[in-house]
Amino acid sequence: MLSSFKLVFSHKFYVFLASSIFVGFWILFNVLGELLFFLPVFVFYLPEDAIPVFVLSNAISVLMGIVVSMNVYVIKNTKLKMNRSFFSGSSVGVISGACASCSSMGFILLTSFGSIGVAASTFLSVYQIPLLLVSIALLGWAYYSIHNKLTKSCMLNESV
Amino acid sequence: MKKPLIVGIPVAVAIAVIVVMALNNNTEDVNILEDERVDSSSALTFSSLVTKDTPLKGDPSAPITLIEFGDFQCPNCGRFARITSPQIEDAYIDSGQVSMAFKHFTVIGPDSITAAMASQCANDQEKFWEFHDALYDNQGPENSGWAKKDNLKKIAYGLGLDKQSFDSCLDSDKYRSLVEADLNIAKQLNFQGTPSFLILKNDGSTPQSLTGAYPFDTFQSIFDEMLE
Repeated sequence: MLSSFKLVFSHKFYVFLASSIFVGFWILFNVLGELLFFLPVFVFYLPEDAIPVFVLSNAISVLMGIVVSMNVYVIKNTKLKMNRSFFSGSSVGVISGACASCSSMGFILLTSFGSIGVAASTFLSVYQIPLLLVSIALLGWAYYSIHNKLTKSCMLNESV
Repeated sequence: MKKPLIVGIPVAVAIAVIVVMALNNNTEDVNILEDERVDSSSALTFSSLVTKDTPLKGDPSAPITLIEFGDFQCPNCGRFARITSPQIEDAYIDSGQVSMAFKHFTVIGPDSITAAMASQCANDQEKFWEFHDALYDNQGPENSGWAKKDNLKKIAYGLGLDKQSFDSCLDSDKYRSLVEADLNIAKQLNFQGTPSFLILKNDGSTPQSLTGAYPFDTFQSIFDEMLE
């Protein structure tokens, strides 16, 4: 499982890309979870009740950085198609992580989408941890699939 | 060329949401009179916002009043109530420097309105803050039924509230109009989420607003600056 990781991240560009994606999602999840504030002063705050979601969303941020970068590597270096599990994993991850604080956005959801918005917000916040776990599983599957493509595909064109 | 664009979508969405949230989660000076949707009688003063039915903790003549706009079903309001609010109480409310009021910003669902009305019924019996703490301590998932009338009544009876008065108050929707009025004030203030706060200084200076379950340190720095 590490050979594909080493193959991709031996290039500095992909290390930078993965780090940028990780930082972007880390900020996104923590701002939405009301753990990270920029105004009036920069504050990061991790109360005990937020630790489980924080750990899971960190795992998603790391996996997003790795999987997206590996998919970019595949796109740039092969003629293979993007992995479907990447899309499902990343979208579930973003949606469930973002809804760490759906209640904080209840007013926006209510005014923007009415009762459907509130129902969606309720579902996503009630099932937040299971959704995050599903997202991690999907991203893990996406990593495994992209690893197979990079190590087993006869179509790989190693031009880098 | 299409594939890189597809890859960029989640990243672009993430960046867009960060920008939106960064803009929303802020503190700013508020002048409600500049808002065309609010009539001039709605000035942001202690007396206009903290009426006889508004639950208030601490000395009413304190130099600063912190007004929370919260929802009993909101997890982040629960976090504020359980962690930050007791710290504010110990450091500023008990010493008479800050008073704290609660207004209802019922955004999560119909049970939020029921819980808000029930808390006002508890306020009739001078047990708002005990009821407030009990709700947040027993908070369940959003719209899961924990804040329906039957459970709210059980919590009220557990606090020793008079059963007949409480039931009569809650069943008659006595405070529905007050809860709706509080929600309208929150909308007029352009609050975009719960909990939101308005921090008033009794010298008439422009109030500050804050949206989010900020930690104690943030409130401390605002209060200390206002008290200087």
